[in-house]
Amino acid sequence: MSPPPAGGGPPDFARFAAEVVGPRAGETDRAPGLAPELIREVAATGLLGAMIPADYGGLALDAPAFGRACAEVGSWCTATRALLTVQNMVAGAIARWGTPEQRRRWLPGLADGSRLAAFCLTEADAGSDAAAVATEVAAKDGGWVVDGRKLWVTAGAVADLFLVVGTMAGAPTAVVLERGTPGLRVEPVGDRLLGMRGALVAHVGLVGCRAPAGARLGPVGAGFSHVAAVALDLGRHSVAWGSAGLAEGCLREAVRYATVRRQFGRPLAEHQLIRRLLSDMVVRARSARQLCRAASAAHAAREPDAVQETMVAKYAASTAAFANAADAVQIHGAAGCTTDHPVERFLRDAKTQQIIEGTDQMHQLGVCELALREYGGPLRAAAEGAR
Amino acid sequence: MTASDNAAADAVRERVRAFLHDVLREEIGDDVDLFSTGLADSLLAMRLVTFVETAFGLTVEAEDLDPAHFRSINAVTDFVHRKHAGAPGEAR
Ligand SMILES: Cc1cc2nc3c(=O)[nH]c(=O)nc-3n(C[C@H](O)[C@H](O)[C@H](O)COP(=O)(O)OP(=O)(O)OC[C@H]3O[C@@H](n4cnc5c(N)ncnc54)[C@H](O)[C@@H]3O)c2cc1C
Repeated sequence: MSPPPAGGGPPDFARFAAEVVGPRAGETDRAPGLAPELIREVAATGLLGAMIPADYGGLALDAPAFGRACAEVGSWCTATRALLTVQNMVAGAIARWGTPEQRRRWLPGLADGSRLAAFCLTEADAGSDAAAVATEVAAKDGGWVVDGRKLWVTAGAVADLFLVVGTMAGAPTAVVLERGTPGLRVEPVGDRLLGMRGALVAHVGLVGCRAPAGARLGPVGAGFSHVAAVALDLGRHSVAWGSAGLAEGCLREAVRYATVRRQFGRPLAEHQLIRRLLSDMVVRARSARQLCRAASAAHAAREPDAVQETMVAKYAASTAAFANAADAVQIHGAAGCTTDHPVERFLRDAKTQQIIEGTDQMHQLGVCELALREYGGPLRAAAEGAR
Repeated sequence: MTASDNAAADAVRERVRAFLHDVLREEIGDDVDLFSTGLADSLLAMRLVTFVETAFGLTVEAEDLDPAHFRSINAVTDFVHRKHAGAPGEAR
């Protein structure tokens, strides 16, 4: 890992991302899957426990600092960034709603990266409609029994802890299951994915999985509205910054290529239409970063509206990443359609950012609420008036 | 409740009302059930927790997440009062 900067403080994440993550990103995508040594190197930076309080061994970064780190890593490798995202989502939910005993049991291992976490919400019939989860949590013999099937679980292939959101007779309930629980089976799906192929995504089958009484996180009934909500908010924040970074990575690669590749006797970057593409990429990347800064500031100030600001940032940044990736491929021509350049991976990864942690459409619905609130009158009165 | 308790409760109620009015864009009665009437969605639940914590300087713990505490303007007002009074099981 990169040495800490002179004068102490956290390691130089930009350097770590460029020198350690970037050179391994192609291999992570092709394998597919983050190599155990790379995960260990990421863990050594502290980034897996970036937002975990220092009392539990975490770096205790605030939202803006963690966001910037996600952007640095995301500008090189979305799969590596996804590992940071999910680890901090689960750790954040435990730090927020765990009992002191649960925090002591789980947070130190998540902070030093000796244990990896996965967040299990999505099911066959519960995607965007995540509250429709059907995984059953039942009380039995003083503990819990969990039955269901979770899909598209980032880091599921290697996770030690699975934060599972299920339902107890209709009341959403979250339970933390440990790897090795009889009946818990992971099925890696990385080689079938369009993007984020290296993110160790798996489907997770849960058949009669028993967990002790202390495995339930938060009260019965709060599994979705509070436990998953905290994790998803942290996840959107991290994906937003990671996508802003990806938009910047696309620009970096496009500029590099456009200044070297020559056509019609001069570098591509001297052709006006290419300059137009590059300038649009600059604007998208910078706008995305500004919105991420605003979301992080709202988080740091503990504003109730931070959730919406984060949705605005995630929607804008993932859209920017996809548009920039498409333009970066365009600027590379045929070379951009091969694995010789990272931009084809960037394009595949960028599409997944418009789907995870809430699709574009789900964000459009949420973001619209901001506008209605700022500029609209009472919704019900308006609806009645229109009738 | 003493007169000063009542005044404090009124001030809390007014802030909760203002917050919900801002979010929901309509006046709602102090006892209207936010969740069973569908006025509140899942996003509101966490925003309400964050609002209560930052506006009134208290920490909502997992055991406080009883829906009864967040059901209505009056329920939130009573909850804040009990937390501030350090009621058994809720004192921090
Ligand atoms: C790489 C990757 C990693 C993932 N990691 C995780 C993870 O770690 N944990 C986890 O739980 N899940 C994970 N997911 C799942 C992800 O959260 C879901 O894919 C996402 O929530 C969308 O659900 P869905 O795929 O079922 O799509 P659907 O909900 O079936 O949606 C399909 C399309 O319909 C649109 N749509 C749906 N409802 C509406 C509506 N009301 N109005 C307008 N349009 C609508 C959607 O926007 C989308 O375009 C991951 C997914 C991917 C691709």
